[in-house]
Amino acid sequence: MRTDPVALPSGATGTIEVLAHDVTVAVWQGCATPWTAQAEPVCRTGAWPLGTGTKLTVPVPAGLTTLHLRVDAHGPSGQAQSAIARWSAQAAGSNPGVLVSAVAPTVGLHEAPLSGQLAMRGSTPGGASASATHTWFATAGEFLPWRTRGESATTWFAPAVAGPVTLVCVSRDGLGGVGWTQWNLHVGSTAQGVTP
Amino acid sequence: MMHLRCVAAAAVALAALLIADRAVAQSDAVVEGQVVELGTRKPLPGLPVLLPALATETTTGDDGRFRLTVAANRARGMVRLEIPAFDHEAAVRRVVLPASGLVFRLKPLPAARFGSVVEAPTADAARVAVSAETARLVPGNSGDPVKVVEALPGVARTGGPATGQLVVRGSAPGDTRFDVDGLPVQQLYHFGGLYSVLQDGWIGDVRYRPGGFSAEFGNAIGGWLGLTLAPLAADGVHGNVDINTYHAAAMVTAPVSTTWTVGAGARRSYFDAWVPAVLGKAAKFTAAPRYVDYQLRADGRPAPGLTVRLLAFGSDDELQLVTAAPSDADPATQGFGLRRYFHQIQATANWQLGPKSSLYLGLGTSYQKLKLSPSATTRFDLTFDPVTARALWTQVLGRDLTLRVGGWATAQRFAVDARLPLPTKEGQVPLPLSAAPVLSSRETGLGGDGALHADGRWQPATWFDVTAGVRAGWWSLARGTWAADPRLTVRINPVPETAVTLSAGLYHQAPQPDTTSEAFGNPNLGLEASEQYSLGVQQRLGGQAQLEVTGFAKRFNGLVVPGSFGGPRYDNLGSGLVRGAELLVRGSAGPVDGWVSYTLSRATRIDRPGQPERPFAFDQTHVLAVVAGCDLGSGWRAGLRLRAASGNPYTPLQAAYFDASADVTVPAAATAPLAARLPAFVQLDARIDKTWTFDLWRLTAYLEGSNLTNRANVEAIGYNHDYSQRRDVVGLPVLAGFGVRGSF
Repeated sequence: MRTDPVALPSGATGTIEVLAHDVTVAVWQGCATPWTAQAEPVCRTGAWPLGTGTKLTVPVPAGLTTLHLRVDAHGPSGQAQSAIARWSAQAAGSNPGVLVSAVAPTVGLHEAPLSGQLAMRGSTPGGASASATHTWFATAGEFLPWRTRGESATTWFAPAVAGPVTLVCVSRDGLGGVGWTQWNLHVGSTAQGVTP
Repeated sequence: MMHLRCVAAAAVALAALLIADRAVAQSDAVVEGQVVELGTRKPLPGLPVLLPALATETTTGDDGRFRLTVAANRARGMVRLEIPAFDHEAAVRRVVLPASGLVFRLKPLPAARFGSVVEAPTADAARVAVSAETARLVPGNSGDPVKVVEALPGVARTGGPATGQLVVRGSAPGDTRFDVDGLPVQQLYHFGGLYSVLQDGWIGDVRYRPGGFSAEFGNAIGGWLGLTLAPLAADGVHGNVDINTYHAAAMVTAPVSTTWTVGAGARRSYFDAWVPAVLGKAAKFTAAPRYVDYQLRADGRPAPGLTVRLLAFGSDDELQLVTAAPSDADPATQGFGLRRYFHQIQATANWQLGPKSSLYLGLGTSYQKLKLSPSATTRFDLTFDPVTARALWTQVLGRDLTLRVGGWATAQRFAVDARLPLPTKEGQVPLPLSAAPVLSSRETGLGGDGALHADGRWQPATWFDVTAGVRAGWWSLARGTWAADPRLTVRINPVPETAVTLSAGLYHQAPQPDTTSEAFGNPNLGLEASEQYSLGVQQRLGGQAQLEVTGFAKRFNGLVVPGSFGGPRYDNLGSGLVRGAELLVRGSAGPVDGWVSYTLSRATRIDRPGQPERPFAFDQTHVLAVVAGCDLGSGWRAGLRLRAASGNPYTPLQAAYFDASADVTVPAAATAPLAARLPAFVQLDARIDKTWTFDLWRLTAYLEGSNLTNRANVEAIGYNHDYSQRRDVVGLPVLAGFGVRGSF
């Protein structure tokens, strides 16, 4: 979940966005206390609805130091997943931007589109690079490793089937800041290359 | 006048004595020498020394020395000297009269080396004593005698995350206490449970009490494991050097006067030489794993009947690593740090005050340090320094009655600096470190406990005795609290070969320290209690064999459990029940010795009144251990150990939700707590020893194979990062270890 602004001014209005793929329904709730870890998140003090959609604008109730968010997402075939996040009024970190700082120059998709590899490296501005973690997702193919720290490299292995692919890097600065970047590319003989 | 007569008579008597002595010296022959054990140089007292042809004999003294005098008319030529076989091979030698400075080095028979520790009936309902010499040779122990308890009845098998913890008769690991020579120790094993913190050469025997122990022991609702120090040999310099797969160790002892013997030893592991190379790509060690320990000892007999033992020992374990990539399951876990060390000094005195009275005094203190870094942002730093004093006075009051009275007192300062999530308690689903609320605390304080105990053993007939006692304890918990624990043991010997033992008793202990913390727990917690009952039968089967069958039951009350929502973090509303039976068959026949241990039990808990009963986390229905060794001759010995145990209960997990702030999937229980069970554990270990015995020293080399069948024993259930796939954690595959030990 990405929030804007990062720090949550009490009584202000902010936007929440969930990184979702193939999601048809996303229902949002807010809670003044942490969601209790049970079979599903439970708000002991009573949850209130915030709206639906993968991105929405919410007014923040006055007096909260932390807004505890919950989103229940449903896929087209009915699969469900719940997620929670914290949106702090005193966020110690920043919402880092995400850059792909290195793409393997000689093993690109243009040369071997169906069995290619792509070396990628996440970095975050603002001096948080060393402690930031990066989580890598792909709609096809596989990242190994799928989670990196600092500026360690990961490799994306292209799928054996041609087609469009979305690559995503989610970066967290370890202090509450979250951001992501996506790339759309085409795997196959007529590959379009990487397009941030 | 009278005075002059006395002087003259004395002078005459002295002259007669001198003349007589000169006559003996000139005509009688003396045969003198010493009998010691081959290889160890241990003096062998009480052995007969015979000159059959001259019908003359004597016995060796405490120092193994003997002296025979042969009358002058027979003291010529060569005679046959014999030392008959008992625990050692017989010696026969022809000697020329007179003879002095003879040394006989007798080779020990297997029965001497592997004899059981013989004990008189004690106030404890059940106690198993195993000599360190026997325990060291058990396959799978890597030469560590303390680990013999893994193969004794009532002890659940622990592995995986619980390796090295002692689970006795359905009690939690923290419910069992340890002592060395009667004074408590806080840490028994180095990390991973690989080795105990005392070198085996210092240990005389391992005394294990699974329950029903006397009023002498307390602040434990489980079992009690004691290590008795081996007396230091006063006959010369002794020592040993031990080099094996894991560590190198050395110790030496020497008498420094007629009354005192001192000793020193040290041990260091060398994992740090090879583990980083093996794991170099996956993890970077900022401090490679290693353990170090040391021991200093002094034994003295400063007065007749008084034995004093001084011991200083310590241990230091360290491990710091940083993983190359964040953990798949929990990005907060990017490494791990552990540093644990202690220094302990203690003094004990056993004083035989008279033929019917004895006194034991003990005083010990230690400095304990534990530093944990589960992640880059969490830490736990604990320091405490307990001081313990105790006394035990034993008085025989008559033909039928023996009284024991004693006391314990412990005081300790502690300091905690912690930034951690709440620890996961039994039956709870562990939260990923990234998603768990973190608490911070800095606490210092002073605590303590004390107890007075008394018991009397009344034996009105040789076939019947009863020991009744009470222990009154006080603990400096928030409110200050005390408890009185009555205990009773009745022993009946209907026939000399059979003993029936019944026991009942009440036991209390303080809650675990983390649960009484101001920040992490509830400082108003009360004591935990157990009622223990047992009925045992011991039957001698002839020869060296003995059978013991014991039925036991234990009820827990006031167990500390997590509180309900809105209440204190912990309260004393837990309860539990354990019932079971144990079988122990020990024996030796010819070159073969060993034992079979089997426990059938069921241990359950109820977390709060009204909640359903659930299995205890270490509930193992069946636990079997078979230990056998065989002397093959020429210094060869082979041994096998088979262990089998029901798998521990566990709680299957499933994904509950994704914590987007922490980038981690949070699990939830898929069933009731601990409703599933791991597969059974089976492991076969073997060991072969070869000992070369020289006149003055012994050299032993051994090869040990663990998990010979290469069975993949499941130690814990693991999952992938989103709990969509199960990835079991299995134990070690077949492994070989070896070592060389030289002793003199």
